[in-house]
Amino acid sequence: MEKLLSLAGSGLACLAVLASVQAAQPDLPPGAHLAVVGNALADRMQFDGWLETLLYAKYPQHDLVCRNLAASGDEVATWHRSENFGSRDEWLRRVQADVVLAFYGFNESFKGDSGLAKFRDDLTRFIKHTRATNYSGKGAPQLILFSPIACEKLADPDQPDPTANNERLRAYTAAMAEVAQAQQVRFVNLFEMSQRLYAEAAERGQSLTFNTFMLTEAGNQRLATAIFQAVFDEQPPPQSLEKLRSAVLDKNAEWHARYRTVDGYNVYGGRSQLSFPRAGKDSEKITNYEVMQEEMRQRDVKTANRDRRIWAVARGGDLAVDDSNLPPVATFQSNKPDIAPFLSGEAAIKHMTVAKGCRVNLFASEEMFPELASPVQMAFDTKGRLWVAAWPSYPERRPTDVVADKLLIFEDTNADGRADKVKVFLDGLNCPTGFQFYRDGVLVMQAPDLWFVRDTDGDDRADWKERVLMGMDSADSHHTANSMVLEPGGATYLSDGVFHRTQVETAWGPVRNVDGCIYRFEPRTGRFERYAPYAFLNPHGRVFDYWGNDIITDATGNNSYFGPAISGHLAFPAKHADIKEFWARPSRPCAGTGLLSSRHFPAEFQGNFLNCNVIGFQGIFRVKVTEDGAGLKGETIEDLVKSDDPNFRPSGVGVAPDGSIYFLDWAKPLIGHMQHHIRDPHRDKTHGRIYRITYTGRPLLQPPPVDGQPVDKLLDLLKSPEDGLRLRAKIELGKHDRAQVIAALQLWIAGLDPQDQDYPHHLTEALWVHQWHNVVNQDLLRQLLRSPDYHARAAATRVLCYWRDRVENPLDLLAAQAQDENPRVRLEAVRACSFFPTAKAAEVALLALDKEADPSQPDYYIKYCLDETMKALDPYLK
Amino acid sequence: MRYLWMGMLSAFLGGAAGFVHGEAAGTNKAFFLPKSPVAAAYVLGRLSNPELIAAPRGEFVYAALLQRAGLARKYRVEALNGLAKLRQTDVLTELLAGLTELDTKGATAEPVLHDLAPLLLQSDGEALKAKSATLAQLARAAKVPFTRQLAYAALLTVEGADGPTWQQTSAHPGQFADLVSGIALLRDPHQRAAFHPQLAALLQTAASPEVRRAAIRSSVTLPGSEVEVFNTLAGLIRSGTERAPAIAALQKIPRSFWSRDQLEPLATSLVAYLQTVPVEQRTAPEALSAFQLATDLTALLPTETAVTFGRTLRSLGVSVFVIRTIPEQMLYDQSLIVVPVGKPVELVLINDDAMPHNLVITAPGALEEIGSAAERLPPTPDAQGRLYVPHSPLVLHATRLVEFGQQARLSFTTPDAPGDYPFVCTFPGHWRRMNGTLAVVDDVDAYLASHAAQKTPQITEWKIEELTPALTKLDSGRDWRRGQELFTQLSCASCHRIGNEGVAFGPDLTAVFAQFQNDPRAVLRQILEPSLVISNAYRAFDFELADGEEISGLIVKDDGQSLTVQSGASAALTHTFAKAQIRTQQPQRSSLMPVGLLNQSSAEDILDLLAFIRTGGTPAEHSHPR
Repeated sequence: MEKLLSLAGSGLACLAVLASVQAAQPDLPPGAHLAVVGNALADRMQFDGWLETLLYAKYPQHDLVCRNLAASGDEVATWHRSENFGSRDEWLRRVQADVVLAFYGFNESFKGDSGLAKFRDDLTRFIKHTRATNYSGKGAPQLILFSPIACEKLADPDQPDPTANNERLRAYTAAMAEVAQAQQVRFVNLFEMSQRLYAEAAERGQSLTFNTFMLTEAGNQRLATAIFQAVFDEQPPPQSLEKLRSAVLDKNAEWHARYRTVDGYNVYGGRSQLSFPRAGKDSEKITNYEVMQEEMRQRDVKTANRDRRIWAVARGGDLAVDDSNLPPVATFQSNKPDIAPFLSGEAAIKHMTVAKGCRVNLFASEEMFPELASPVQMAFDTKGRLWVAAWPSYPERRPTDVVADKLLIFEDTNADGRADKVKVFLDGLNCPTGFQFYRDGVLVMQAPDLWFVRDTDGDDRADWKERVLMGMDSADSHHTANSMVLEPGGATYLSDGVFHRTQVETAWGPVRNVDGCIYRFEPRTGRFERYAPYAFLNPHGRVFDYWGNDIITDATGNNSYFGPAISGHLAFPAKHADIKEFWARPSRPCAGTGLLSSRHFPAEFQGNFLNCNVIGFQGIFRVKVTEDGAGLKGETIEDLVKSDDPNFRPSGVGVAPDGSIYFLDWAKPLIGHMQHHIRDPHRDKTHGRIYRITYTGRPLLQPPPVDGQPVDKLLDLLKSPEDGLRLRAKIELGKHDRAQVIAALQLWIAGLDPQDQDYPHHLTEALWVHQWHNVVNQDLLRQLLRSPDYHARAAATRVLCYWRDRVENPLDLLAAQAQDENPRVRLEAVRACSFFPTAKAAEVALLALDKEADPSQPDYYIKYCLDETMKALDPYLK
Repeated sequence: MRYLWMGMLSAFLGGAAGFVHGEAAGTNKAFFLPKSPVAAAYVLGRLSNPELIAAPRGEFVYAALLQRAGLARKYRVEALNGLAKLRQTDVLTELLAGLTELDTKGATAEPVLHDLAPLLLQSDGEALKAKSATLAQLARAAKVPFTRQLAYAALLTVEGADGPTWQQTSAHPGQFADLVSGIALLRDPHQRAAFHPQLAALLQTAASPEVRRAAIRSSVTLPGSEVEVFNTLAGLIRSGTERAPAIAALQKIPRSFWSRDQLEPLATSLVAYLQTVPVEQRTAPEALSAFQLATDLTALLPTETAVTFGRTLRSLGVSVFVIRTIPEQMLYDQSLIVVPVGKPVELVLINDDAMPHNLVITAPGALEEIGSAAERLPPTPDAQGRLYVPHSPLVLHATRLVEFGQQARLSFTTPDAPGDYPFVCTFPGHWRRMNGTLAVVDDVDAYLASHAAQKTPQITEWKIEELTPALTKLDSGRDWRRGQELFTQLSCASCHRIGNEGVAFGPDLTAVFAQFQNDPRAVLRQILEPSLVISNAYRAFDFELADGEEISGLIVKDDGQSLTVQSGASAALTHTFAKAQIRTQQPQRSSLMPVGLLNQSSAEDILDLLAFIRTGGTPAEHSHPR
């Protein structure tokens, strides 16, 4: 016992104290309620269930009740939740905690030495408070404190060296041990325990984490076993516990859906108080709160029903879960009784007007494929197949819903522009608001987590998944991370809208935000940071153009912005100041955007920004994009498509490998989140269409094969003018070995013709492939920073920003960019300076002013970005 | 490198030469200033006033101190001396250079130009004379009218009333108007008075309207001729000549000079004028100033005449209702507005929400029909440029679509038929939720008494206990500017003065903290519970008069014979009646100040407001934008 339940850095004397203070084993009386609080380490335990399973197995007759209240990002004194979520105390009271298992210290540790004193105080206060509070009605709870685990040294060169993190974690673990001793609280040193487990795993050539600090399922099993041994001083039961664990996981899934319900702002927060007439005008009103809390009670009962099965299995028997005892949920009438009848997918085409020369055909509809309901995002894979996230349960699943949300694959085997087959890649989802391809799988957003999901046996059904990011908020499911796109350099982008309180744990410390923001995520390295901290209401759209400039669209007002200007660094919680719109949109709101890059369409279509608008104007705007000093500006031209069918709601648009345009039709009479009750009976859950637009008289593109192609063939595809093909080539390259890709890339670069007018872009693509594979090439970077093409110089400046820690004299390089003759390049330099926490960065950024023709009236975007960069750097100037 | 070595300063930090020590601040804090003038001006432009004041002195900092708005004049003087020394010139040269540069910035520079004006006009006469050429150039060519007027004033200071400038300018109406306006700026009252003959002539027969307007403005600044000027201006008002400027100028003449025999004719003329103003223009500045003057005049008339005028004015007055949108809620802040039948009203829609909204008033019962019809409309503006307004006789009045931060007004006469007239946002998808009722009634008071006020959703009815813990945050990190904004936004300024802001109807708040022993909790509590302490001067009364009229408000004047009662912050809401007319008189138990003024504010906002009030409206040294 003693050797396992050790006290870090405090020696044997402390052990004696601890042993003398408390019984060696916790006292778990029959019927005890266990509550788990803490950070992602504890949050992840509910999805693996090992520790709980061992407890149920040890106490088969006890009918224990376990509830996990942890959340990624939590700290002992930080409870970052959306409005009216309920405090830690309120939740401990709600679950009637008799025993509190507390896992803190990981996120706190990033404050280093300067945060230690406060951490000790916070922890002491937490212990005293918890042990003085009667949550269960049976007296104060027992408290067991767990230190953070250590960070694991991984062979993967993309993963950070854990040394510095571990130095801090060791200090914080020691502080916890001291406080625990002073307060005479049972304490388990997971830091040392995990290091021992890592070492054992390393001997077998295994690792227990995938990103140095988040345990895999197997890693969690090792840790749970070790904790069990430490706490009870005995070996876990030898028999297989898989059946018991599956009962635990079933219960945990139900509890998670309740405790971390999506759409919380409408379930318990501000908009839960919105009310709507029950039965027509002037009738008594019913709030979202009333109905959604009734659903929460159903989830409570469903969770309790699953407790009973766990108890039965723990006793060696079993029990069919019976949910026939759910309390009722109120029913009421729609506040929009007069909905328009649905047209068939084909008939709806007659109501559409398309741009001159264009033609629409139906690719797929719910009539052909019932799975196709409420499509929210789409993307073409490297096999040319269309993937679609279907969200019939919008705004979110009901406790009693049978049909779940899905990730679908549509195949058009005879290439006639009409889907022949649908495959369900992933089922059982709740609000799959976004997805994007990565390596041999897909990243799938299902709040609060981002999963990496793979199909390892080639049957086009997901069979492997890992939560790679945790803590994306979903206080409003409408505002949950969506429109996932890939930048040309391989990072992807997540987002939040207003009301959200995201907190994501990373190996570089927790990332928090309040309300709207767009985040940049490098799946390879796990780097996750606030990209565009801006007071968005609901950012639904983002696109990257040929040269990597992005346009960000806030859905609510359909306000679109030039992304580089609002993506400089600002420390939380600051946000960027208001910026002008890049385009005077004629209508709002916008459900999705695209960028047209396809030689199938005539020249005047190239580079058009496509903007799906769903109220008033129901169609897709075409926007001509031109230079505007350092930025871009848009001008509305002939609409791509519009319809007078009231149910027509274009929700996403993209370009297929053959150059045709595909767009999603959400196909709903009711779409708003707040205009109607969350459970308005007229919220449609069955319709969804995908249409295709071709240009009459112009041949379709003949897409070259991408899937399964060798590296050199894929590299040659980077010369394609079509953004989509180059992106798919890079996605496919991402499946190949890094060293092989980078070596082949050098040969490809050497073989390029410098006289080719696209030479600067080819080189830029080569730079982006380096970025995609997390390999720095300083020579290529320096060459492009001084390219004759300013687009390439600007793009390279952006890459320099992301490589700043691994490039020599980055600020000297930026000084040249800040004095570039082209304003776009200067803007990128000013933006990049915001990431350097030094006064010298301000000197460099200010160089951009000297290049202005009239310094008292600088370029709008440069002035804006300089103001924002100086705001970021102020702490280092004053 | 690129950074200024400021000779007086002690050290650079870190070799980057970007920092100097802040001697002026008396601290060791580093100060960042680029060497390039462009970058330096940019960096200094980002500093707050206290930061700029604390900045170590040098040419760039002096230039910034001279031109920055909102600084005390002593810093301007310091800057002028500093610049003169550094550039080896003299103060007047630097002042003229500064004025010239400021003038290029246009109207935004006007407050600072005003601030610098006395420095110029107090300059030594010989020195000014030596700069005549520069002054004349500025007087003719400056961008900002005030700059030109100031330059002329400087020239007149040197030359007097019959100098060459007057002679040369009188032939050019634009320049002459500037010169005549400049008379008002002259420091010496005797010198101003000396212009009386010229101005009197110009009031009667000016060569151009702009010169006459300038003469009107300047004429009221001449000591010794107030009565004559009053009579002249009264004549102009009666004849409708330059009515608005004449009204504005006349109100600057102390009342002791107002000729008794002019009062009633003037009031009669104003009432006659107001009756000719279309209802929708009665809230325009010109009409409002006429209302104001008529009301002021009425107060000086004999009681019986005053009562008649008061009633007539009230019948002409326009009721203004402000409706705001609630951000993120798709709601108006009011669901019920009660108006009398057949009266001119004005509705002002202010959109605080990020979504665009409009306000459409429909015939009774037509909410659904119009709301649905609007949803079917294409986003094409109608003939009046309005989006989503159905072409229907059921639409009575409609604003355009109002974007975030914008406002729109609707002026109209309420229907003669009583009824519930819906008002609604017809932006597609909004109408089901975002609507309210314009109740047109015969008797507003009776209606209100029988209909409990409808609650506005999403508000916090703050209790002092809830806010007390937050008061510990009052001493640091407060945003004074935000508090200043809130003082106006939350309508405090509509009834209270603080420093130089606001309307003196309720108590002046400049020293309110001192009155409450500097106890922020006590001040806050009084805001939350306005009736807690009501000082006698601000106790409201309900009067019932012999003729049945009911009047409520503060007694603002009691001359023994009659009372003047004011029921709101506008002077137009004043009623004067003979004491003999009073049938009953009851003190009100509650304050005239509404409760719940803070209900839509966050705790942070409330703290900022308190912080602002605590400074008595004078910017604090350590206020920071949040």
